[in-house]
Amino acid sequence: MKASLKLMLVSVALTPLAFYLGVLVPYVTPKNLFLRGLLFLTSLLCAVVYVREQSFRESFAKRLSHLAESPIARCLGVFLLALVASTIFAHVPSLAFFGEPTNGEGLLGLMWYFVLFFFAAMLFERREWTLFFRTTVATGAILFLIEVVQSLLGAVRPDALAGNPIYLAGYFLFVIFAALMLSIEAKEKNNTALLWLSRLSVALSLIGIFITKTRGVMLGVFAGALVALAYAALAEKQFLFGGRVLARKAALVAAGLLIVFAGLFFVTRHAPLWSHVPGLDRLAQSGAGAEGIKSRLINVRIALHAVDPARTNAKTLVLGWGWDNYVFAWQRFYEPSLYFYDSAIFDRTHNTLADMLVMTGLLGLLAYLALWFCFYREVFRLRSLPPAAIAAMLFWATAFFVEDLFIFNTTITFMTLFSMFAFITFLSMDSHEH
Amino acid sequence: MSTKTAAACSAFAVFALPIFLGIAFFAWTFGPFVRMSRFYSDYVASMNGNPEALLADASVFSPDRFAEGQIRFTYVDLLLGQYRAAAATGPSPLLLDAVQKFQAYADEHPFRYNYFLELAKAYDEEAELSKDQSFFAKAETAYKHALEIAPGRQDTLYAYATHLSNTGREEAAAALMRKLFMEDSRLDETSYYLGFLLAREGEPHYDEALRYLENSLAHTGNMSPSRAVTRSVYEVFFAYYYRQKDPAHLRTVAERLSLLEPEQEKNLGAIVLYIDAHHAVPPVAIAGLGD
Repeated sequence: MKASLKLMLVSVALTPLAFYLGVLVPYVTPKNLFLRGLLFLTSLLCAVVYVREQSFRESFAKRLSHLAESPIARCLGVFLLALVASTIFAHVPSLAFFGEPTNGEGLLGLMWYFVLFFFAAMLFERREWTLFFRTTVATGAILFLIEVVQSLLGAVRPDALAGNPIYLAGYFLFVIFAALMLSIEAKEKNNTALLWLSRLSVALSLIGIFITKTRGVMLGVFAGALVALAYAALAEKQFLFGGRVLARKAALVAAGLLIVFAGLFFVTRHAPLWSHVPGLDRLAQSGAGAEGIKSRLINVRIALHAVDPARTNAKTLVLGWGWDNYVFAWQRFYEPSLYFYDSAIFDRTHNTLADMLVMTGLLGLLAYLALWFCFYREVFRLRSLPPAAIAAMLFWATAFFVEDLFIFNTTITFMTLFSMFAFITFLSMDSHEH
Repeated sequence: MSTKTAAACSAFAVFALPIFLGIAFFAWTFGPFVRMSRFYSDYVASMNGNPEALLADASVFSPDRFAEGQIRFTYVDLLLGQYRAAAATGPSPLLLDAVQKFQAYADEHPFRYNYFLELAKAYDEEAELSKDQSFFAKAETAYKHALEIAPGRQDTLYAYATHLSNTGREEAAAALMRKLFMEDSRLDETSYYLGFLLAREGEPHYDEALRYLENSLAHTGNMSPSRAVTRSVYEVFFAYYYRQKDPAHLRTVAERLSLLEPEQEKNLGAIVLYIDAHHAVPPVAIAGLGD
């Protein structure tokens, strides 16, 4: 029964594969149904096991007391309170509470990610996390294959089953992290097959990101790699391959090469060469003048106007417009110049920090930033872990944070975000327990 | 947290969560999913000759909860798409039903400009199809509400200007587009609509209308609001400039028409060549064009 309970939760990693063409939003709604159904069943099974097993009751209570002391859990609690407050005082409270069913957000929709965090932090041990990462890598491989087929069939920006290439690219970041964790496990266990499979997964996920041509995620990968390499160069312990000195030098050289490449790319971005490199071709077209960037900047400005107390009121600045309510702020503070760059209706600013500010106010934004601060602090405190694992976490966190400055989240990226919060919380609690 | 408190909290969490999540799952995940899925299958059945599938299935629309905004918006949007794609002789019961249901939802939730814009377009469509002027009045109300919610939003202004023109206020329509063009001349759509609406004002405005239309179409090849509408405007231009014996404008129109009417490409190409060679309008027009 206990094993089934944990297996149920591990199955959450299959969520990105859920789709059903017979519904209005075939690639989002079925994922929500799948994820929430699993979480609901997990809660039911958890109650049954709790009633039946004394040892489970004890370990559950013990884990809960540790969880209550976790800084990440506390920040999530504050963030949840900010969400509740912003919902109560929202422009359209019913929408902030129920959300758009097609997005599956609103307070009620976001709540499921907090539930995912809760159960993953409470129930998973190292074994389950490993299984979760393996399932993630397998899911990533299936998505990659579908993406390649779509690409071969002529899709300019394939999205596999994600519903949008942006979501797929964001998910591949997590697959890279999961594969890196598996490679560390493989090295510890001298499992050559797993080691090569995980390396292959990292490579395919990177290629997958480039095939989606998602600029925000590509920038995220660059920033994440730089931070991870910087950490590798400064790590106190033995890192990755061979001895410490060699690894430090290798990391420094790799970071240097990355910076040189980025500089060369920036200087020569108008050269015809880049138009033949998938992913980089679209990035090369970017710049302050690129339409996508301009429309994002205008949206950020609209968001800032929408919380400016001189234009609205202090309550809006502190608590925001409510989740899923940006579209109303956008309508009210609409800038006609936006239409030239993008005629779409925006219900997100395409910048998570601006989204947090406009939808949940300063309170929500500060709670969200505190969450990330705690995340990084906890990662640096995990001294018992191999530095490669820390570097992998830093890579994912930085890449995710940077990509979030250009896009917004959806079911599969929220799922990875809260899973990571749960994983770091688990590691932190685990290190305290031992 | 003390051991006792932890035990109490964990017991509460373990037993309260399934109840709460069960309600949340069935009421706000499974419910909307089933309704969206049911709407979709009913709609497909309706399009395959069984409109009763959607008209008779009250469960998709009642109670007024669970993804209704999305469902009712999609209901109207899909039907409008159908009407634009095929020449219809009157509003179908499905369209009337969709608009009525969407209006009821929008009255209850008057927040989104695009919902009112969609409603206004649907009323315009109904007015055109049924020749019932009362639908134009409903469209007008909806347009004004959309503009009140999202002032300056161009897609509403384009549709509203077309509505003004359709209801005999051509000057006001063109003035609205002129103002928009003055504010931002980069928008090809504004240029298109200005040209389109000026053309409706009559022959004295054709030169100016053609300039704006060409300004838009040369940049984008934009055929909105539809290729057929653009084509009919250019056919009128062709006849006019042919009568006027205006080779320069006729050449421009013939070149554009050859893109809009590939079947006439050869004849229109011959006209362009003739004008280039003789700097005059050819003596014989094409059947259906210029006679």
